[in-house]
Amino acid sequence: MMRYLRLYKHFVKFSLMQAMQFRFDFFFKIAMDCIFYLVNILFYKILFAHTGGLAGWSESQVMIFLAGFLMVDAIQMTVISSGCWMIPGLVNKGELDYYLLRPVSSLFFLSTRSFAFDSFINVLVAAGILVWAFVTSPVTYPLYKILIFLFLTLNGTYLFFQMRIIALAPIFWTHSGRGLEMIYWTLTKFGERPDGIFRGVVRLVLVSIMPFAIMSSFPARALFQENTWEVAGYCVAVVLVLHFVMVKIWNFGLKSYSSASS
Amino acid sequence: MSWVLEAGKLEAKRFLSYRVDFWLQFAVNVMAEITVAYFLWEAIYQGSLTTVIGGYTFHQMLMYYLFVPFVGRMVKSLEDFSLATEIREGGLNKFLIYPLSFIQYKIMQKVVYTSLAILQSFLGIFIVAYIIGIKVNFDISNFALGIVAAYASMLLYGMMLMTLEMIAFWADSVWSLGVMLRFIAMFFGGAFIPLNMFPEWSLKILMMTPFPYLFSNTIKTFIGENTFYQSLEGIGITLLWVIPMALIMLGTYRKGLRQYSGIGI
Repeated sequence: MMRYLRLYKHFVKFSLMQAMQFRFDFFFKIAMDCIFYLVNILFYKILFAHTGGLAGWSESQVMIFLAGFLMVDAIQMTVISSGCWMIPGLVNKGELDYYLLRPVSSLFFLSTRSFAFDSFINVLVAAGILVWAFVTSPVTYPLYKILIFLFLTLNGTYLFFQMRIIALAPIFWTHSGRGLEMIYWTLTKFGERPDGIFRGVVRLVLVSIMPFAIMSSFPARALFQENTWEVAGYCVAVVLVLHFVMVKIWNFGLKSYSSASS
Repeated sequence: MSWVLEAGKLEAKRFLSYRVDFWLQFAVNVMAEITVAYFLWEAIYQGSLTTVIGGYTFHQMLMYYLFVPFVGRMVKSLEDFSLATEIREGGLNKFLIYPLSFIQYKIMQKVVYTSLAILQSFLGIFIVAYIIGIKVNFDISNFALGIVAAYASMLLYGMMLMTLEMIAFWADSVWSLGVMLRFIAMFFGGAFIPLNMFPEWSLKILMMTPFPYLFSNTIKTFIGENTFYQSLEGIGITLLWVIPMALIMLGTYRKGLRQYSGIGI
């Protein structure tokens, strides 16, 4: 564990040096994410000017849900997004060898080696939005519920990562540009809205096969509802199962990987 | 101008070379956007005390959102940030040597992509409408005007995006500026929420900007919410906005060329 932490410290250091080389880009990306947050907040503000509730949630509850979603987005953009983006290129060019030879998990090395400092600033912005959502909420939540909410938000971030890797894995066999990743990004739209709006088969899929509802909606449910522990237990169980699936698929994909070197 | 046709054919072939990707991404994107919109608005109408929101019944709202992904594809056209990449990596060199204009080539690419998106839409709109159970009133004049409005909006959006991409003459990586434009244009252009739902005061300000002419006006033309004259007026205003945007884009290009070393990074 300590070895991984030490390694991660080096990743962060190198990423900071890299980020400082492209300063324009650094600030552009921060501004881009801030606009994304603003647009999302305005979207719900305008909706609530025309309705009293959204699938049983009040405006303040939806704002907490939204802030949780923005946290998931900002953390994954900071920690894993840049690394994951490079994986298809490395597989298709046969350049994974360098990472496979290291005495650490290849999945860890590949996905976390690029720490996005610009997005890290946005984690702070998203955290600010979360604090604002809690402070302006007319309901005061018990501390243990808030802690569970935060834990489940991190759990949701890991789920985001798991599903992205599963969507990327087909490149080992298809050698297409980005596997099913673009489709994955499209499907994340389902996670951007409260799960309560979905019904029937769609809802069933969103809480089981493609559990986008676990990302941000269920952490909010754990906060708002009485059955906090049940919801939390379900979220953790889904992530554990998906972790097993992701590792199996990744290892299976690696077996199909052919190196470019002689 | 015969090169435009030849290059256009080549571009169309290039876009269609990964046919499965092209259609699969299109189908998943459209279905996801419409499904999310369907459930979201169903929940909003259920939570509201009225059956009309922002001047739309639930059915009319669905009709609006049915056209959003299709019009979005037509207007945003090719958003691959290749212009910025060519400036950044020195790929612009070949255009400076070839007897064709870089700007014209980029606009031609966008026209080709928009034309393909229009063809896709004619198929897609009716299939999706059938699946979700909406009756689309096919009015040939609305659709014809809608297509003209889509090309005009594509030009307007294209000029804005190309100007931002040209910042690559000075900055290293500018794709985030393009993404920023997409968020702003889609939100203030009525692709996320119909503009009728915005507060009155903000709508007055918005109408003085080019954003409503990017998506909202085109969608309203297609679905017949605009009268014939309103549609014509909308297209006219869109084209009027294209002029200053094109001038800004050309000015940026000329200034950038003076800065361009041709080496690439």
